[in-house]
Amino acid sequence: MRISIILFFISSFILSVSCEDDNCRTSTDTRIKTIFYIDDETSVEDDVLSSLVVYSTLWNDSIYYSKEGISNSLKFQLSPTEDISEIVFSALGINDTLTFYYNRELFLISPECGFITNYNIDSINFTKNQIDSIKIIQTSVSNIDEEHIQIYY
Amino acid sequence: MKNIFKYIISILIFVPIIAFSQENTDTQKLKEKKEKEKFSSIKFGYNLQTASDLIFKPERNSYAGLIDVSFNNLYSGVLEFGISSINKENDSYTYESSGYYASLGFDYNMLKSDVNDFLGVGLRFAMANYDYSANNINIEYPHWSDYTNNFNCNNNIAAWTEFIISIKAEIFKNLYFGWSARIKMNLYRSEPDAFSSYDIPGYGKSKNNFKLGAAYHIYFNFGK
Repeated sequence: MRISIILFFISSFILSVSCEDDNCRTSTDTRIKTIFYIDDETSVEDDVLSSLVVYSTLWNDSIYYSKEGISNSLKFQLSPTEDISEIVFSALGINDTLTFYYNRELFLISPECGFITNYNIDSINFTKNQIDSIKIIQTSVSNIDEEHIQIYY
Repeated sequence: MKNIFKYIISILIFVPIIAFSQENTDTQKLKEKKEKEKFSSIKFGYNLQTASDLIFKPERNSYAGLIDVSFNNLYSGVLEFGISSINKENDSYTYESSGYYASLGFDYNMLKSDVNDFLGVGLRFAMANYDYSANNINIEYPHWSDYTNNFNCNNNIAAWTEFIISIKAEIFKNLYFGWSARIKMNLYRSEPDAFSSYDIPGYGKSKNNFKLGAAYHIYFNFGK
């Protein structure tokens, strides 16, 4: 009886130790997933989206919907060093600037994965040159899969 | 009228007798209860996971133990304590933390008839005090400039409760081995929002406010 008890405890302990996973399986990428809705009768949806470019004046490059957009959605990242980001959305040559106000939180996910920056959006101010309205769906930005904001043209 | 008078007399006579006998019974029960609440044993336990961490997690250095004082083989008062430190260096950061924790609570033995083994439930209230820092952080982002920073967060406090289901068995005379499953619920944490710790001593990964855990202990019985 005692042998079986000893074996039970030892095997459960070994199982517990061996189950601990030291590999990183968590993404540290946190980007805002934006969904676009084209309701403007004067604009053709495909033209707006195919011409859509997203950039910041602090970036050296831009994000093109034609390259990275999928199913009316595009992902971009807020500044990991400031609590405010100005992102320009340019479609059909007309620019709209979105100003994001948010809080950042830096997490060490694990020694293997390293750090992740999570964001919590407080508000968004935007120009209405072409954009009609913006709806915040999810204020917490902690991954790249959830829908965060909707932009209506 | 005569019957009512008899009835009142009966009540006046018998109620004090019943009350007196009840009082005697209560005193006797209290006496028996006091006799029952006898010290059973005192066990010192060592958390084996801290030993396995020394082998399998070289960045971590921790030790944890407990004192279990059992009464009538039914209830135990349990004090758990431990220290923990982490030192992890890689290309993009150096993370260091150190601290200690203690928890106080009780266990209830559901196998009270069996003096050698234990199957029961328990509750703990725990607190930890810890420092942590991350230096030489350098994170590369696709569009934004690299993020570089240093953080030092000292003298943090965390508090949590644990609901415990545990078993332990005597494998040799006065030597016990035990396993416990723990549901931990965070109550308070004094960390700054800008940078959270990776691990709280005694609690584990700090990003979860509610977590499941397990602990393996070897116990030495110094009691009866």
